[in-house]
Amino acid sequence: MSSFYIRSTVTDLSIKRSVVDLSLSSNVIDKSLVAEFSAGFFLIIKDFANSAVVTESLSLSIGKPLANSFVVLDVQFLGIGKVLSDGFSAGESNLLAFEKVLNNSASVTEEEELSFAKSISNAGAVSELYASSLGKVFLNSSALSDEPSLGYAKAFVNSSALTDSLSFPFGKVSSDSAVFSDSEVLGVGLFLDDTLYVTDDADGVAGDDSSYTFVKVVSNFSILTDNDTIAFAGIKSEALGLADSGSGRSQGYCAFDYFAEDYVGSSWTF
Amino acid sequence: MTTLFLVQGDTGPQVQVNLTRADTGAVVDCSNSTCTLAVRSRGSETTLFTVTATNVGTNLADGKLIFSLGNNLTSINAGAYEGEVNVVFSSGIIETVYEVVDFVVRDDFS
Repeated sequence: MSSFYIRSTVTDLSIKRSVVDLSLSSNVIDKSLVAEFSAGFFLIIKDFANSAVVTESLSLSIGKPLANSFVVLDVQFLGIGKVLSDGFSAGESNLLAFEKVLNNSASVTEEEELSFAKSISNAGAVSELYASSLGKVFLNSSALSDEPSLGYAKAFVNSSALTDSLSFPFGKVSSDSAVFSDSEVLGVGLFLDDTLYVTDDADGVAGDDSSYTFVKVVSNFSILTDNDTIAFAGIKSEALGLADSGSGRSQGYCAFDYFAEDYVGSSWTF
Repeated sequence: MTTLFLVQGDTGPQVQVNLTRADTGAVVDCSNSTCTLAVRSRGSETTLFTVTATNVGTNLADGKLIFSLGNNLTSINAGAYEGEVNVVFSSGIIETVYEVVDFVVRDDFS
C-alpha cells in the first residue's frame, strides 16, 4: 500500500477586518447619601442644668439669712442712731463691716464704707465748695467771694444812699412844715380880714359901700396872702408885685363921677 | 423604604439614621454639622415638626444621627407620616437623603 502525499501551499489573500468600538461610554458613580433608618432608644438625655439650678437656690437660702439679718439690724440701728444726728449710715456700716466685709455683701459693705470712708472724700467735694468760698476768695471763687464782699464792702456805699434818703425826711421836716404852716395861716387870716373889712365898710351905710368893701377885700386878700407867704419864702418880691395895683377912695356924699375931683371923703393909693 | 412603627403619646422613641455613601459605602463624617429630621403627614406638603439630631459635634463623625422625637408624638394624630433627613455640613454644604422614612403611628390604649 502506497501513500501519497500532496503538498500544496494555499495563500489566503482575503481581507480581514478588525472592528474597533470607538463609541463613547459612561460610568456614572452615585455618591448620594444612603440612609438606614432604625427606631429605638439610643441616647439617654439627662438634664443637668435643672439640678444645678436647684442646688443654687438651696445655697442661696442658706446664705441669705445672714444677709437678711443684717438688714434687720440696720433698721434697728437706724432707729437709734438717728436720734442724735441721723446716724443711719454709721449703724449700717458697722454691722456690714463685721459680717459682710469678706463675703457677698461686698456691695453692701461698700455702701457702708462709703458712708465712713467716703464721707471724707465726699465731704471733700463739698469741702471744695467751702474751700472755694474761703480759699478762692481772690481766685476762681472770686465770683462767689465777690458777692459776700460786696455785701459788706458796698454796705457803706449803699448805706450812704440810704442814709441820704433817711436824712431827707428828717431834714425836710422843717421846711415842709413851714409850707404847711403858711397855708394854715392864710386860711385863718383871710377869713378874719374879710370879715373886718366888710364891717368897716358898713360904717352904718353898709348898703352903698358894700361894693367898695368887696373890691378891697380882693386886694387885701392878695396882700395878706403874700405877706404870709413872704414870711417864709419869697417875701418881698411877690408882695411888691401885688401891692402895686392897690388904690382906694371913700366918700358917702355922692357918686364918684359927680365931681371932677374928690372933694370929700378920702382917697389913697398903695 | 423603611417603615417605623410608633405609638401616639410616647416621648421616648428615637430614630437613628446611619449615613453612608452610595458609591463606596463609607460612613459620612457629619462632625459639627446640623442634622435635622422633618416630618409631615404622608401626602401632605406641610411639615408638622422638625427635630435636630441629639448628638452633636464630633459625635456625628460616625455618620450616626440620633433624633429624639420628644413630645412631638403627643401632638399628632394616629396615621401615616414620612420624614426627610437633611444635613448641613460645617462647610455650608447641604445634602438631603433622597429616601424618606415612613412612620406609622397608632393610638395608644389609654
